[in-house]
Formats: sequence, C-alpha cells, structure tokens
Amino acid sequence: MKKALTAMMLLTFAGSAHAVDLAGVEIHGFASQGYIKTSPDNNFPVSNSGEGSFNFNDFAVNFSKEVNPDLRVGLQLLAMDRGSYGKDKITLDWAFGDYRITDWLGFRAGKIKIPLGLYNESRDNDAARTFIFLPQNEYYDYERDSVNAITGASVYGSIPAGSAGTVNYQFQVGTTPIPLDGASARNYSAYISTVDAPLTTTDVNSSTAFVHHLEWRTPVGVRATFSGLHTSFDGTATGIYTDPVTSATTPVTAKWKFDSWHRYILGVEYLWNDLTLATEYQRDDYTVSADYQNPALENFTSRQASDGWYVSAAYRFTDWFELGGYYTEIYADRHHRDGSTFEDLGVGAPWQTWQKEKVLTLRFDPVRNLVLKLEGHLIDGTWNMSEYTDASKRNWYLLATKATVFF
Amino acid sequence: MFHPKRFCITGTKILLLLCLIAWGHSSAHAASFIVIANKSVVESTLTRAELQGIYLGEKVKWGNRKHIKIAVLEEERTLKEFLQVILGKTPSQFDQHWVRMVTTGKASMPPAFTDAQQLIDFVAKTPNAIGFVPSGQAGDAVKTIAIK
Repeated sequence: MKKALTAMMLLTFAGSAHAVDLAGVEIHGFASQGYIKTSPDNNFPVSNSGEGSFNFNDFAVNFSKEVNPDLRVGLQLLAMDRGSYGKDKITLDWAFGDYRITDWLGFRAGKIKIPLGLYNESRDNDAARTFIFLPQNEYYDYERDSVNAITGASVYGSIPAGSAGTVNYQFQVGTTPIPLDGASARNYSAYISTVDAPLTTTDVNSSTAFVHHLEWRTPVGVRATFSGLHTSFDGTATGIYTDPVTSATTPVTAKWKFDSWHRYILGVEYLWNDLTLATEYQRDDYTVSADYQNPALENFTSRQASDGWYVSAAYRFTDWFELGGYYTEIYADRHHRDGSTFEDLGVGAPWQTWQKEKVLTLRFDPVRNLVLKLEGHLIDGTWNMSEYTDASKRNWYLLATKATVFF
Repeated sequence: MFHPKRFCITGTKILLLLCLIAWGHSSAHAASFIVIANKSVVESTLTRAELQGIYLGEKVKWGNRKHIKIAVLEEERTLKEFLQVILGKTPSQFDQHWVRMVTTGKASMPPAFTDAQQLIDFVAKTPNAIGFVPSGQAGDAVKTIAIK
C-alpha cells in the first residue's frame, strides 16, 4: 500500500518537476516506482516478484557545484528496493571532484561511475533509456552494487578525429566496493554454497581494479565502445553443514576467491532519426575457488568462461510514445553452450546454464519529466537467477511497469 | 567455399546500405537557424564536428582555453532542425543524453530558453556562451558563428 501511494505521489509530482539551483549548487534527481510480476517459482530480480511486488523502486538526488570553470564537485545519494536487498537504504552512489584541463585531458577522484559498455554509467536512471531492464548479461541486476562505481581516480578526455568523429577515453584505477548486504555478495555466497551447506558471506575484500573504456562517436550516428574491467576479490563465508544421512550439523567457514576477473564488452549503437539500434557482446573470464574449513566439503578451484550478447531496437513514434524490444542470449560456459558441463557434474539441468530472453517495452512520456513504462519478458533458462534462488521453471515470464519522475 | 560472385553481391548490398546511411545523415538542407556566441569568443567558424562535441559536452574549451557555456533554444522547429542537422539526434535523444550526463555527475544541465530573445540576451551577457536561434534574429549584441 505504501508503495502504491508512492507511485500516486510521483504522478502528482510530475509536471512541476524542474532542476533546482541553490546558491550555485545544482540539484537533480529522480524517483522511480515500479511493480513487477514473474512466473510464481522464478523470483528475479526482486525477491518476491513471483507473487507480484511493489518492492521495486529507485530514488536519487544529486548535488553539484562548479567551483571554478575547470573544477566541479558533486555527489549523488541513491536508495533502491528489490525486496530482500536494497531495502531503500540510502547509499553514496557517486561523489567526485572533476578537474578538466583541456578537451583531451581531465582527472576525476573519488567514487566514480564505471563506464562499462554503452549504458552502465547511466543505468540507475530509468528515464535515460527505453527499457526498464537493460539486457542482463551486460547489465546484470545482481551485480549493480559492485560494478556501479570505483573508488579511486580516473583520467579521461575527448580527442577529435577529424572526419572520423571523436574518440572519448576513460581509464580508472581503484577498488570496487562490494557491500556485504547487497546482491553481489549474496550471489558470490551462492557460488560456493552447496545444497547441504548454504553459506552467507561475512567479509569481502576487493583488490585494485582497472577499468578502460574507449568510445568512438562517428559523424553518421554510430557510437562504438570497447570496455574492460580487471579485478580480483576474496572473502569469508559461514554457514551450517547438514549431513544428508545422519542430519548431524557442523559449522562451516569458507575462504573464497574470485581471481583474475577479466571482463570485456564491445558495443555499437546507431541512431537514425527516431530509430535507435544497439548491440553488445560481453565475455567474462575468472577463477572461483573455495577452501572449506570442514572435512565434509571438498575444496575446489574452477575456471569460468561466460559470455552473452544482445540486439535491441527502439523507435519513437511520437513525442510521447516509444516502442522498443531486444533479444539476448547469455551462457555460463561459452565453451559448452548446450549446458553439458552442469549436466556432467550433476549440479543442474542444462537450461540452468543459459538465459535467452525476448523483451518488448512501451515507453510513454505524457508530460515533461514523467516517464511511464510497461515491459514484458519471455525467458528460456535461468542462469541469471540459478546461482541465487532455487529456480524451478525453465520457461518463464517477467512483467514490469514503472513510473519515473526526474528533474 | 569462397564464391566471387556471391562476395560481389554481398559487397554491393553493404555498399548500398552505407550509401543510404551516409545519405540519411548528409541530407542537411539550407538551415533555418544560426549559431551565435558571446563577443568574447575568439572563434568565428566551427566545424559540424566541433559543434557536435560542444553540444554533447565533450568539447568544453574554446581555443583560448576558456570554458564554453552552451545554451539551448527549446522552440520546437528550430531545436529539431539544429539537433538533426548538427547532432543527428532527435529532441528526446538529446534530452536523454543530458539526463545521463547529469545523473552521472559529468556536467551541469545546459540552460534552456523557450524564447529566442531570452537566449540572445543570455548569450550576450555571458562570456564564452554559445547558442542557436532562428535565422535573422541574432541582432548586434552577439556574434554569428559560421559553420564550415
């Protein structure tokens, strides 16, 4: 009921929303309330979406000030709810100082958005895109809290390339904070949990991460990007092991590590009048290992190689109506796309190693600063959720609607 | 197996597609807008690529290293034509670009004006400012920037 009232307040607030400027401090923000319903047995990415849920919102406000023409400072506070995580807790989304020396050279320091692919930097704001859910391989909701921002420094700039357009670059170094109560940490716990020993992460340490991002913007409406993220992180998880034969229980502590994580994303976007076409390909390589302090559980080290891609199209028919859709495929093991790895190990059905989605979205902009969306997904496979929940249906659906006010 | 004939047909199709794309982006007719700037701005001409960079927040400095202040005219016809001819974007695509810039802390939202005279007044009194208005409305308070 509280969420429904929030949605109604958003609609009332729309139309009078404008940027605010207080003593040179520019204030912007957005408030986004949604409703999500998935097939009853497949809760994703909201923990209670199977029964239909209003635990699906995002709120943010940002403050920025131009200290002098070359130096800017700012920060954004963000809260979101996805049921069992988020819970509308206010977090620092980004906060940095930005010193621009020339067009081709600038520096940022603080907590900075990570430029992965075409849209990662702006994924928080629903109003900045056509779809409610961006394709989940490149913009996985359970990873949002860990690949959202880097705490460190970056160098960036724009280099004119004559008739070929412009090349924008960013290099970042720092650590990627992984909150213990977030979806990423819980997802990592699931990687090292077993049926008899569900574990909860109690500590996470991120090593130094490096990010590189090149964007080539051509004069003919094509934008191509190539991004990479390189990092490692480790932690501790605890839980209880229950012997399947005797039902005796013993405590478990596990040291786990995601080592040498290398992510690469290639993206191309093309704008032609009211048509937007986009495609991206992402591949991840990393090693997962777990060292269990319990003789009943077998330590493991496993090299992972996943990938995925999507194609999307969106067309704006009028000032107030846009129709979009995409198709995406994601594979847990790109060397065995048929899922035989899981089957051979006896840890799951083949379809739990992929996810293939068809998505259709209606976007309405009835008045300025208000966006309404309605989106449907038909999904084959459960890779994105099988590490996290006990998904039981291979073919499932996701319906979502969202109202966003921004200023 | 490699078939030269099939290769040529495929190549011709790709060439035709590229020509269509290029045509779609080069069909700029005589513009009904002009670009204006504050008289402190040293530049008198800009390329389309430079204007693109300025209005996307990538090019932020004039040649004399002064910080560029951009202004946007929201009058529908002029805005649509300016964005289409210079940026190859629609107003909604342009709005979303700047929502992304602001949401990620990269830039401030450019000031927008519903009336051309208000924009001219802003550009005239703001050092290093640039804007666009319908042709013939610039007046003497600002300088006109030629597009190469």
